[in-house]
Amino acid sequence: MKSNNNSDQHQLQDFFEESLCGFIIADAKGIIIRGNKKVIQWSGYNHEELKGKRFSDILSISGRIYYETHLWPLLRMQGFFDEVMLEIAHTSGTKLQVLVNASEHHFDKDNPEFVRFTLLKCSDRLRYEQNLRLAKVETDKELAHQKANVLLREQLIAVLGHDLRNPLSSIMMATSMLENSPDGDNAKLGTIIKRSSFRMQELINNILDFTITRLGEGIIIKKEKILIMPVIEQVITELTLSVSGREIKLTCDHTLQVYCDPDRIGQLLSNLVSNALSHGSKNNPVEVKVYQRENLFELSVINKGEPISQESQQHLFEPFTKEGERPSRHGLGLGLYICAEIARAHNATLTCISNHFETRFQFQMESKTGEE
Amino acid sequence: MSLINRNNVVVKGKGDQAIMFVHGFGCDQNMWRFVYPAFEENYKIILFDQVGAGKSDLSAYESEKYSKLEGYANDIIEIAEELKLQDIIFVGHSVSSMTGIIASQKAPSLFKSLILIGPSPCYINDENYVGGFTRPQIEELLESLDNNHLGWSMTMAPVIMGNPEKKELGEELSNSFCQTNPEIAKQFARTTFLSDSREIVSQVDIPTLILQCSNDVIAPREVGEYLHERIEGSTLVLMEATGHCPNLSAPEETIREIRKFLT
Repeated sequence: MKSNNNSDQHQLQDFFEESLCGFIIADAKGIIIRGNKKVIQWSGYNHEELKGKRFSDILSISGRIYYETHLWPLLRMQGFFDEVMLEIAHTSGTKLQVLVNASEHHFDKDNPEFVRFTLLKCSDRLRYEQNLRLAKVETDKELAHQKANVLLREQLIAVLGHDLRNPLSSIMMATSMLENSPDGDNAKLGTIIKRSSFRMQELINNILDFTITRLGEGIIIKKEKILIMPVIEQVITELTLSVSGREIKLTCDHTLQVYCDPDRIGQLLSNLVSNALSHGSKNNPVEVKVYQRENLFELSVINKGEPISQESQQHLFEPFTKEGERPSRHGLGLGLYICAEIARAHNATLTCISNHFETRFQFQMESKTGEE
Repeated sequence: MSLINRNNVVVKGKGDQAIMFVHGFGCDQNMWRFVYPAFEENYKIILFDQVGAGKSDLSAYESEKYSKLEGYANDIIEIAEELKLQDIIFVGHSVSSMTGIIASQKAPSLFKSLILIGPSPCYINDENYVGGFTRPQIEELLESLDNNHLGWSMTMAPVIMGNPEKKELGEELSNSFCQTNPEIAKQFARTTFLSDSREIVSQVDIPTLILQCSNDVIAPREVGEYLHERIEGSTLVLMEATGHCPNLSAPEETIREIRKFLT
């Protein structure tokens, strides 16, 4: 029995001394009673020198202050601390980072009997963390730089778009005069230029709206109670003029009043009808239907022809969406994105249903027959 | 009342004589948890958290104001005035000993006596003055803070969990004590370890007790003796307690010495 006990004792001793982490036992005041081989190796003190030192005596200066002002209080108050990185200062002047767990051992509730410390080397880990931290700083810097660039570019586009409007309106004015010219050829050329200018104006407006939403302001609307019919008719007249030979069929109650931003609803309709005219079947009319059903105001634009593919439908309302397979003369692909933004500003929805029977874009807004 | 919230001021005790306990760098008013109950019967106890520590209002922290100990001293005066206190017995730990001296000189009528635990007017050695640290050591400390090396200003929250052995520390408390806002801890360390209050200590003219620990790496014995020499009529007690926090390590001895001084 006795020899067994001795060999157990010996094994424990060996485990303590040869362990791959550092062990320290200190008295209740934090004075070291004993440390194992790792502690001796890491600190440079021998067994005798270690004995009687405070735990903080083997730490670097910042570790020592941290320990005395933060960790010792924490240990006394909660009985332990875990996973704290500290630095052991070797007598030769080198330093080693260790993770420390400490725990008070109590025989009764109030009086700690001794304190255990376990130390694990973590200098490689620290280097890894420092690299991560550096990489993050670099990435943050790069990101801030890129963000500033993007903002600048969007501001440039906004200014450019805005400034293009003035010369364009001069062109459009001159074109109207040309259209009225008695010379037949000139009048014909005037109509062509007018159509293109009209299209160009639409594109510029879309770009401006797009940059406004991108710059974080969102589309701002001014709602008022209006008769909707004249707004719709105006858009249809303009589009009929610019795309000759196509029929646009309108169903609308001329007494219907709606609380909305008339310019924006006009813009939305214009975008939707332009799309329908250019993508829908050329042999069928485009239909515009305007209804008030109970508390819902509905505006639909319908065309016949090839349906929009399932894949395209998923990204329809995102900016710069182009109708993949189909040849397009529709520029930037901002039209539907702007429409969706206008709907959003009205707290309304804009949806698309497209199948072999028809393609229908539907704007739905809660509205109590013209009330707010 | 925002002042009370700003510093999480707590008033306890049955007596009229005010005794104010002020924690130093590291931790918060919990530093006094083993000490103040001994005075509840006969004193009016004032506890609070320095702005940036414990449950103080972090939004009240101003780098400029708290870059000097005077900023903290002004808070002490404001609290004393708000609570309409007079003839306060001031108990300051660590750097708050100096803050208390500054406050007592700015508003002499408020304070009756000073009890300074582990005080140091200057942490850096200077010619014949022994502060305990060389300038390169303090520079190393500040640099390590700036690099967030060792993560020593880390928030302590994840460390603090239920403590089976000390049941009196409920959930609510255990989540807050010693919690440190990293940025503020960094600045408080700078304010503390670069402070030099040696010029003002000789002007102290109220009864003063200096409690000097054995083997305190933050405020060595020479510092306690220096203060004892400069502060006329002061009492210096060399405690058996080791380390920098006798209020936690040796509360009985701390209470005994404070009582002895007050009677």
